[in-house]
Amino acid sequence: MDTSSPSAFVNGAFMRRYIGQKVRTVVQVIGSDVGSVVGKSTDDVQIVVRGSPPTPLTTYLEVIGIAESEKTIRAETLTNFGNSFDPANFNELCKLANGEFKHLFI
Amino acid sequence: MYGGEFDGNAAFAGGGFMPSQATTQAPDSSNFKNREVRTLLPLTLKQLNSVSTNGESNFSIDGVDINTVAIVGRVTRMENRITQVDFVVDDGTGWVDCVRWCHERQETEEMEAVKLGMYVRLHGHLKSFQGKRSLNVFSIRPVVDFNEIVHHFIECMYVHKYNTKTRGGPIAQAAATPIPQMPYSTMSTPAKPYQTAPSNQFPNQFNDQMHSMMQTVLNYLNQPRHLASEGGVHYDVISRDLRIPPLQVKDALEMLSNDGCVYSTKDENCFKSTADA
Repeated sequence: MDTSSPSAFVNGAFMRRYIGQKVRTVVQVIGSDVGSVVGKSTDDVQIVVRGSPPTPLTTYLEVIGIAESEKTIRAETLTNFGNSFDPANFNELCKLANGEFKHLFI
Repeated sequence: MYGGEFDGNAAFAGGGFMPSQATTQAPDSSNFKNREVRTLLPLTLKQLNSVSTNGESNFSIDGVDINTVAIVGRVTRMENRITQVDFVVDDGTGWVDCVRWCHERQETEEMEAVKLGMYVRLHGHLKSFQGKRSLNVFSIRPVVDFNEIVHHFIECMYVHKYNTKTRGGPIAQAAATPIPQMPYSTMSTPAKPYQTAPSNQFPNQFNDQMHSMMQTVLNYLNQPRHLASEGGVHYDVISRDLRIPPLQVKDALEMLSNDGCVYSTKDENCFKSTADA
């Protein structure tokens, strides 16, 4: 059992707190290219994800990787999260996981 | 499904009365400890890492004994050894070694559905051997609706908050849960929707105000000194202490009494919370 390399739940707003660190987020895919995906975070911030997405892409994509800047993630793992994911729920989770309940996560 | 998994069991830890045990020296507590307490707790791996232990196999967290834990994470390593499968699950807060013994066909089939890189929900027992912690998994299935991941973490937060708040006194409302929660600390099983529908469905215009007043009065009565007092508290005293007009206090108490949250003691003007029952 090990908790030394956690990934923080982030939305667009929380990205800046974890630059250089491992983060996880879910974005709504706006467009994809070879080697990158452009998505909208659950709080409507445009995020660029560098990495090769799975094909075919579903509406929502989970990204786990290193936050390179406030708006870019270098992805280690990309997972299709389907078309019926609830972004509002995830957004609230991010707020709680970075706030009152941070000690349960990081 | 919700009833089976819900941590209401864990929160109450085997009886309907555990939440108040920490606040009073109830002689009943010994009865409950003698019974075998089974809990199912949804936890993050970070929480699992920080459980306290007294002895090799007695774990507890937030004051609740741990029997079974529910984890949702992704399988990052897997080794199939025919009669057992060793794998590692990572939920973003940490990772843990897991073992799934497969002696029967149903168990093998269950494990075959699990592939590397997949998100899974598993239930298992926490084991510790020579300081190393691992999970002995007896139930595992792939996650198909990814809202389940979000839900699991929210549930972890809720259970944590519930378990830690009941220790201190007033029961606080759950944070962000998508399911409508009972607002008070009643003993009804959490799986069923709140029983007394009429009193719970306040007309909209009264909802927030009356609801929060009832919660305030209930929180007041849930304070340790009032829980311990035999005779309860007269509503005038509540009114004076909370600075709420006595008639409103009386109304709130009546509604709380209808909901089973308080009861009258010496006469119909003195009330006590049922949380200590």
